[in-house]
Amino acid sequence: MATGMVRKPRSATAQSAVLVASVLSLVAVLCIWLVLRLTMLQNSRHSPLPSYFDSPSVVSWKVPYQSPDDLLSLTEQKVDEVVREFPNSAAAFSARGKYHYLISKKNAAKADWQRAIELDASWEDGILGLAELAFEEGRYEEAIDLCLQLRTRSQDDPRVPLLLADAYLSNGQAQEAMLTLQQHITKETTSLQALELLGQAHAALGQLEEAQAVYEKALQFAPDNKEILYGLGQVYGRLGDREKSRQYMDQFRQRAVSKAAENVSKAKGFTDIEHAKHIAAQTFFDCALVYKMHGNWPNAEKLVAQSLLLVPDVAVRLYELQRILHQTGKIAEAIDIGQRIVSLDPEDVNQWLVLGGLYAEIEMAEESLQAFRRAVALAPDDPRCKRARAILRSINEGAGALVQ
Amino acid sequence: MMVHCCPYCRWPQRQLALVLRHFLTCFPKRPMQAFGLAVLLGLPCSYGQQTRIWFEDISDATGIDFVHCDGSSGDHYLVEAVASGLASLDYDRDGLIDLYFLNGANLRGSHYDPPPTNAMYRNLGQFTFQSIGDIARTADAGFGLGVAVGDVDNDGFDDIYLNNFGANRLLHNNGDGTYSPWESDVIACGEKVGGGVVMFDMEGDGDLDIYVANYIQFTYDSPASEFRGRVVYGGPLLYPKEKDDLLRNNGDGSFTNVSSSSGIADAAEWGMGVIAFDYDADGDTDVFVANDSTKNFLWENDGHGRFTEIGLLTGLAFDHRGTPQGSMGIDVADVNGDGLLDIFQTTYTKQLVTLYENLGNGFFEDATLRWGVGKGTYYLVNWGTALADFDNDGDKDLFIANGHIHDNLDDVDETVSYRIANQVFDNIDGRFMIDVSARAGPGMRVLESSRGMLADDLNNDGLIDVVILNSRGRPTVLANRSRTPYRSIQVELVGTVSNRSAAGSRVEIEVAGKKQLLEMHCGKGYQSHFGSRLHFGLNAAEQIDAFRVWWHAGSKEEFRSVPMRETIIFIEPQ
Repeated sequence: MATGMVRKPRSATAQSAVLVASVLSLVAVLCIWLVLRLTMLQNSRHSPLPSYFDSPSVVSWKVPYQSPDDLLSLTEQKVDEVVREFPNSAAAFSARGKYHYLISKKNAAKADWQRAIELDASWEDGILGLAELAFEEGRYEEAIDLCLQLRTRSQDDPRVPLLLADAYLSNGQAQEAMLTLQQHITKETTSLQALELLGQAHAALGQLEEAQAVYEKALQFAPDNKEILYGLGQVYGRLGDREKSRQYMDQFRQRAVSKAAENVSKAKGFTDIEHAKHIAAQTFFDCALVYKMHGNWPNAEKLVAQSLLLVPDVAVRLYELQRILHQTGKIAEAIDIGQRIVSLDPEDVNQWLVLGGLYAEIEMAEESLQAFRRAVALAPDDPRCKRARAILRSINEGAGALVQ
Repeated sequence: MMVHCCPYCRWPQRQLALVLRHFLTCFPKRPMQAFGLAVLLGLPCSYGQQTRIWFEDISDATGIDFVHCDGSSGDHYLVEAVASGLASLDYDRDGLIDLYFLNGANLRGSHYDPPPTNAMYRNLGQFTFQSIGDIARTADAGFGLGVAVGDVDNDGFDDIYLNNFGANRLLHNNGDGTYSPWESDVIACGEKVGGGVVMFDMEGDGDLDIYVANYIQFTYDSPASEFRGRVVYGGPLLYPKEKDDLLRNNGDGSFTNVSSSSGIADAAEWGMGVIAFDYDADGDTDVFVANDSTKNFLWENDGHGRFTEIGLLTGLAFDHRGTPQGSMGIDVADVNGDGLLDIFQTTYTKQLVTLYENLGNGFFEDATLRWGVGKGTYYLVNWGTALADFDNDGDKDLFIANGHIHDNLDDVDETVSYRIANQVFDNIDGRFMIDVSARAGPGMRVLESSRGMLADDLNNDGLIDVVILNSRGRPTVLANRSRTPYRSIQVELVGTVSNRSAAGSRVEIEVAGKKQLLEMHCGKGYQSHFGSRLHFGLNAAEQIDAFRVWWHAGSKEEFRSVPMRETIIFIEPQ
């Protein structure tokens, strides 16, 4: 029932101004805090950090298995346990759906994802899982319907327009695929996969000049991309320009040769246990996210750690573990994980910035400064690095004042 | 009693419901009529789901008692999983098409007794067959993988080439109902693991040469692959590639291996299905090889038997994304009625089958998605295939034989079914194809692990029947009992200047303004041979407006206003 008093909505400009002011104040307070803290701690010393994965408690979490089937059986027990513990959680059913998909139990995957959607109609991973299954099974109309549902719910997930376009293309609806991709590309201008699919859509419609233009644009972002080179070779071939077609196909061929060698090497390197470990690691990680979502941090930490003990050095999982450790106050351990991340990718600007903050939290000033300097050196124009540079400048000035 | 009649074919119906059902069955390819009728009656329009194609499984009544053996012992040697092809031929020239099944053999660790041998069956008519392998002396005991049929010595009787794991064989048809081995080390091609094989005249000298595709360099000591704790078949990438062989027919009863001098030995991949056809209609025969898990070959012939590999430059090496496929079987036909020969190929699991449309400028487009032929094929392992007009409506439909290689994963992996149903796609006006397997009769519900297949008219009723070789099982014989009012004509070619089998010769018919083109091939599908009588569905035509024959040796003949008949034989003018 209306109360009679109606609050007049603020104008959009006023709302934006308030928001910007709040953010700026927050950033300013944080910067001041960091400057003061680092200035005070600049000369402090530290002892070496313990390696997280060597600590006895983490070592004891190693998943005990005798064989690939044994490992998958343990994995299934774990994901079933999560579903039992959270019978009303869409995330839990979604995690089990993914596990069933990975072990090629399509019907069980479908049932789990459907249950996830029953529990939460907006559960995007469940809808996307069903859409991917429908696509693989050649039920393109169903895949299209599911993707359209998802698109109305979320505009942000780039997987949705790509799958939708692929489903349209596979269903012989190249025109619709083209429109979907054109919309997507206005937001994701450098999405190679989108450009490749758009080229295919134009080619399928016989719009060869347009396809050529799209592929050439894509080549500017990725001159070595095998699929784009092939697309261009195809387009020129269809246009009857054999010379140009040959030119691009030759470039494609060079890359295809190395890919073929890689395929042989992968086939020879395939082992049953590694395959099982990858499935188990993904599933343990997905289960960890369910625990995290429900605030059970110890279980979340244990499961991500188990995932990384099975398949180490997966960046996205290391990041998640670092977040959990930070959240639970295990800063030294979070730093250890951060070091592992930058040892895998020394140009990970984001992680250098995270490390800078983490070192500061445990009063390791020199390391903190080094981490920030590293980030700034890697990406001087990155807005976050600009802020870090400002902090460094302030610290230097502050340190100078202390000496005087 | 009131009798309704179909307004198009005048087929009488007693009840309105039956008339409607018949109308939709009779005219699924007249979209506007079907759509209009559905709209008028307030029914959901089911156009596109109807088909005239109808297959019945008559295997048990044929007298064929052959059981395929892959030589398996549980050790899972890859060679077992890829066996075998089969052939149709009129070996005794009695006008009925006979059947020849390849078989495996004992491998290390297996002891099948009696040892498996190839089997030949004489067609007695009315879908009944008599085993004659021993009488005809065609019961080869080698490990059979691929087969091609053609008249290599131009004596008027079809010979058989067997591409084996081990020494290959050429069986000479003596013309008296028996065969004799053609003794030659050149023919044997060593002890390789073979794939498909084709016969064609590579340099236009009037006799058939032989292209022998080879698969892997196999040793029993190759490490076994494991998946989910079980020993499974490992893929070809685990083995070194084997170069193909090209055997030139010297015309005097001898052959020379010209693999190196012809250019064929310049490249090697894991070869499976192979077909020899004139991709650019320049008068000489080129060779397309479906290679497993890697790029396909198109060997362009310079007309003198010197070949250059141009698969990539013609768009045939990979799928539409430039991804290599587990290419298996191949057939070639003009699927869209534009007078150009298109290519269809089957593939391994988690890939779509591929239809390459010939654009006529030396380039092919992967038109799989546009044609809809990939739908429902992603998880399947496809092997044998045939493009044939199963309902005589004047365009080429598609049959695919399916079956996984993994025989022990059904319980742990739902995408892997060792025994699965085959598929048939109906060609809709040369524009797209629809999987009509679920509505094409009980013959499409047979569950086996199929490998090679063939499509030919076994009972001379004008409809193309299907025979499928099933790994570790009995073959499936599908009688075509399609509910079609349309007729067909079958064409036999007798080369006199060209090779006797007329391989590489082309026939075009013109019916009611539409053209259909076929080329004679000796060896196609999945390591198989069929289609020595060219079959044209005639739709509702009352006469054939024109016949054109391009003989491989270069001459052309044209016949106009040919009256309707069931078969016609063209003999090349000398």
